[in-house]
Amino acid sequence: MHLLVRNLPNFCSGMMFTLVGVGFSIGATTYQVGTVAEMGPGYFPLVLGGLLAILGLVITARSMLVDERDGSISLKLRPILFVLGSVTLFAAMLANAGLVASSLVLVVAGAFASEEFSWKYVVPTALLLIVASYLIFVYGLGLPMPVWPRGW
Amino acid sequence: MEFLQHIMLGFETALTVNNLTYCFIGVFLGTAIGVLPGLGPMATIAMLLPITYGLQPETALIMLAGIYYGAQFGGSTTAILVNLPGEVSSVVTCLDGYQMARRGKAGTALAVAALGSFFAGTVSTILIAAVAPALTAVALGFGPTEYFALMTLGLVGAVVLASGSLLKAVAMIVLGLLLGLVGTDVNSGVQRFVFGVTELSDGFEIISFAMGAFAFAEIIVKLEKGREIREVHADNVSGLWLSRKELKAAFPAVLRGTTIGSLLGVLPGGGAILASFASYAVEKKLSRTPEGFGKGQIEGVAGPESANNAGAQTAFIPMLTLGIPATGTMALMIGAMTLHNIQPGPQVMTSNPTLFWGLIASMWIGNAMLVVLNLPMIGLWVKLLRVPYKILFPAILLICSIGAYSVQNSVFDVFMAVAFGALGYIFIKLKCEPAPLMLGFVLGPIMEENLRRAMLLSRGDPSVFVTHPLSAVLLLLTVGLVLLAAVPALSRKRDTIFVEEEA
Repeated sequence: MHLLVRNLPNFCSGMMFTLVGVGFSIGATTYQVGTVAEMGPGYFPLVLGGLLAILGLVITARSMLVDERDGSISLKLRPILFVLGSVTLFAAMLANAGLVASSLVLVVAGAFASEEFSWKYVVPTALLLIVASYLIFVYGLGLPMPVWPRGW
Repeated sequence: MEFLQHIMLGFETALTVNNLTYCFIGVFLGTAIGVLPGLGPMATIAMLLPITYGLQPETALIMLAGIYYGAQFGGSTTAILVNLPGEVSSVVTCLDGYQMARRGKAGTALAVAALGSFFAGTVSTILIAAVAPALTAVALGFGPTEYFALMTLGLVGAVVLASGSLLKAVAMIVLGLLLGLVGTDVNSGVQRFVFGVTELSDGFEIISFAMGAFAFAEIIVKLEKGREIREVHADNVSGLWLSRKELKAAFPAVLRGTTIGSLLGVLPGGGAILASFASYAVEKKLSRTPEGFGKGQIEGVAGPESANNAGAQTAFIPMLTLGIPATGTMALMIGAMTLHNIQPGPQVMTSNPTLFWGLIASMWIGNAMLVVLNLPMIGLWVKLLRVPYKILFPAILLICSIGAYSVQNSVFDVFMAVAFGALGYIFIKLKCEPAPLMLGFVLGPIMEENLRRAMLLSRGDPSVFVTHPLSAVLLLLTVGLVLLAAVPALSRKRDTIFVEEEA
């Protein structure tokens, strides 16, 4: 891999742009493309998708031939998982479980994303945030949203 | 005299008790959130947008503008006291501001930042009021051909000024344009790229994108770095005023910074960013003691802070008169205006004069509030600065999630924010700037519409773009910009500017 690819972030982004560009172009052909004078809904996305694919190919090629060497992409799973996971849970629960329960889950699961997690600060933080968000968003701003679990 | 009438109308709108109150709340909340380390103006505005949903359009925009200035100022406070820039344009403030704070001159640094910003804000507000009507008049004469050329110029300009790889920035814009096309096509009514998801028929929500890419993704990256060490140098934030000597040193820098910022701010892309870097370079060059820069020289704070604020302000000009965002933040403002059923563009000034002039007047009022209220409240901001990140980020997550939900009272936008968070994280890892994507996203449908109309009118003859004089000039400028960016000497210079910024 390292013999071929000089710059891993650029290589991957080039591939991403190419794939997305090709995807949009193929998708665009399922709509009416039309002519230059009378463009259909497929025309502009087809052109842009093609452009993006070409840009992606150039970026990929450069990452293998001319770019400065930079092979690193480092990841840590824990923050990704818990940050995005906690918000997903919140969204999935909100309609049935209401704001209070969903917020509790969001804050506790979200706080887990940090390596410094401990119940000692998370519980009071969660309680404070729930009370504050109820007062601000529901009571103060009157945003319509379910507060308590359905059927209570 | 017309100028005065406009200003009067603006102040009549902005000075109602209701609007003043919301302007104040906006400035206050904007600063409070903007002060929090790791949250730039983009994330701040996205987080606070939901608060404005229930308001009248004028009031909502006035409040948003307040949030915007507050967020900017909050960012400077963080830069000075903790050496953490909330956004690129306050990177320069860190250099000398933080050094001043370390030497116990935090109060002076904050005062000069606030006063410099206020001065810059005043000048650039007058400039907006003076220039906007003329530009609007020009813009009203634009046909679809000219509009398309103008947007091309804007997008290319944004790329040339962006940091990092040019090619990747262009690709990000094109990706943004494509994402902007998702949803119902206005011309044919065909639903494009929605894959049967009804919620997507109006397209992606820009707020979800901003929250995902600028709040969620940033949080993940910050947590990856592990335990943070944050040194707050605010033990004696007293003496929030300047001595006569300091004032004398700072004032010329403020003047120069304001000029540089006002001019560069109009440019697409990162006018405010470029402005603060340019101002710092100018001050260092003109100074009799250039060796003092980086060690707490007051001009090093005064100049860039004024330039930054002037630029942030004049960035409103292309947005208000042409409906074209110059920065990612302005793209978000356009999103907010659309939520209130205002289509940004040259017609806003005539169709919504109270909104237009009220907003401009409130810019100045917002800036004044920043000085009057924030300097005394600095103790509160310092307390906020000391809140540890492990407590802060769950709060940000919660506010964003509730905010994304309340855009349309639907959890779909929360799920989208998660998806865009993942996407934004990938962008950061692949070193792709998400801000150009936002510009493309807003402009995608407008560009397509204008291209179609232009081609329909010319019966498919693309030469209209060069035969219409105005469009030809705009495209010539575009080509010029591209060539400039490709010139080796300049691109090297561009690299050094942004390398310095990352260091």
